[in-house]
Amino acid sequence: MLSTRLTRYALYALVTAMAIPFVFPSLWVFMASFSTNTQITMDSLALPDRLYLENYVHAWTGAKFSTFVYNSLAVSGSVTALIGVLATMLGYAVARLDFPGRRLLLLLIMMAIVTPVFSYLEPLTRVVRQLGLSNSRTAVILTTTATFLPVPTLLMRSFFLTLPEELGDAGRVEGASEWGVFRHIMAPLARSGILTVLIFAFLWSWNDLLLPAVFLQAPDKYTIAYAITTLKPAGFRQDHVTMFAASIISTGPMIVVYLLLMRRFIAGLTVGGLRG
Amino acid sequence: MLPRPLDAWRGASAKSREQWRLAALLVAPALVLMGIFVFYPALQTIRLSFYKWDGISPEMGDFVGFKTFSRATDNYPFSQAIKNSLLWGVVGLFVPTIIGLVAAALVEDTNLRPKPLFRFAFFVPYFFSMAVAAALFTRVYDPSYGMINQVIHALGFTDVKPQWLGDGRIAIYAAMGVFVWHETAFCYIVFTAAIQQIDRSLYDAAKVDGASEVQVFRYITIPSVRDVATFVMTIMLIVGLTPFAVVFPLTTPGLGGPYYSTEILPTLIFKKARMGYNASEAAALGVILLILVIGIVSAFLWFRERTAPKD
Repeated sequence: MLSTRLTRYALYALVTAMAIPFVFPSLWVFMASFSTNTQITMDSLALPDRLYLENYVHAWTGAKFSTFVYNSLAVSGSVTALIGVLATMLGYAVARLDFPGRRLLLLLIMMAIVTPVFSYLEPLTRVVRQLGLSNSRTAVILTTTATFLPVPTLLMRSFFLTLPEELGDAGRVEGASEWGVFRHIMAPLARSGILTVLIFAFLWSWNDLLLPAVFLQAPDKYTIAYAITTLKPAGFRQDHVTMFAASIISTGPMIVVYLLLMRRFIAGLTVGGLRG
Repeated sequence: MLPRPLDAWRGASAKSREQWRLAALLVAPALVLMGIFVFYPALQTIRLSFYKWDGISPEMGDFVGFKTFSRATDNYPFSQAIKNSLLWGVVGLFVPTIIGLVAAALVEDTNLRPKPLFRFAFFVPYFFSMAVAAALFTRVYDPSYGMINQVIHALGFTDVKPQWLGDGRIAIYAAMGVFVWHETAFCYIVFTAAIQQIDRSLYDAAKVDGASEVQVFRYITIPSVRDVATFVMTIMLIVGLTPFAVVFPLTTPGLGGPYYSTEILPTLIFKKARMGYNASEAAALGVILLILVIGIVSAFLWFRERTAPKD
């Protein structure tokens, strides 16, 4: 009995010790976001004397994070809608339709996954320039959609593959067209897969740094993740608290996902992982 | 002989003809978009890497064969970038994955309570994006007021003040620290999901047979999550070979510094591509990165396939 209690304490001690490095920096940032720059410079481990909520007000209005959040919502919203539609269509085609070139298409999608954007970054910027999309949110939306699309497509493919083919055949016997089978039988059944893809696409584009950093030059078009990284080199009057408050604001979508959809998110992730 | 497309079309049943038409409709929009923004630039990269061109002059320069490659690779920043990228790939493959798996097993397979609290604790870094996490760590790592040195100070080591990001000898490890901090949360959550799906009766049977906790982990948990582990390790390998979102916020201005110590291939490419005056060198480095990533990932997947247990 004593030994089991001892191992129990040891287990708590071990897991807590493992968790501290992950929790502590986040906690520090959270605490400091309610503090003052003077306090942080003097003793950053101390609690602030009161909650300086004005840091958030300043980040939102003075540091223009309302604009950056709006930009991020516009970019991520568009990317999410585009990827939701395109990945469902493409995923269904490669999973369930029999057409010449299907294996080649699948191979192309796989190759696109392992090809880092960096490897074709320079020609990509030239394509964007030639299309007249330089310094535009549209450029970020289109390039993010195109480069991220392969992963959700494979995820959708694996979802469609788990659905029994008999359902489609039953629809065909009832006189449904191929389009009808896709639109009214298969796509509705893949709802949870589509939801997973939508969440992934939103978080991915919300968090992305590279494409906004490459394609956006005017600060009033920055997305929130990019804007936060540009807050850093502030010279000698460093405004720590604004950046901390902005970082906490940037966690918004992830918190929503965590609270509302964690179970589904996990389920979707595993199916994709096992079969993708 | 393969049937020619037209013959195949004639010979096809009404059902498959209808399927072909639908497939064309479903595939076309995505294919056009990826064609413009992925496949065309990817092919351009390969072509461009064999020519001499600054990216600004209207005409592309002469065909120079592998000359651009030797110019892009025969320098100190490049050798630093390769060294760092390879080391980072190894770190990505093993560190966040192993910590994530062990943490997930410790929380899920024991009677630790309350589980939601511990799950939250390991997931917390993922609330921030990688880029934001890295931006925050410029403050966490600050030599004077930063969290880490303040903790070191509070523990009584008053004269130990490492310049985490300013010292070229440790900056790369500090950067990898941010990567591990952030990506462990991803590995943790995926492994948690995988462990939750393992058939509980396997554990009960092992307990009846008198297996220890460690034996259960070794002989039930690890084999059961093998496929998920391959997936997670592949992602970590790819991210670890291209951790731009870590290095960019940590070392801007002076991307890749101090003195090239945190240089990786993506930062080199970004500098050449965005400044826009060395298109062909950016392309050559792009081709090298492509070969590196595809080569390493294929080798890894091949190895996992080869060592897979036979049923």
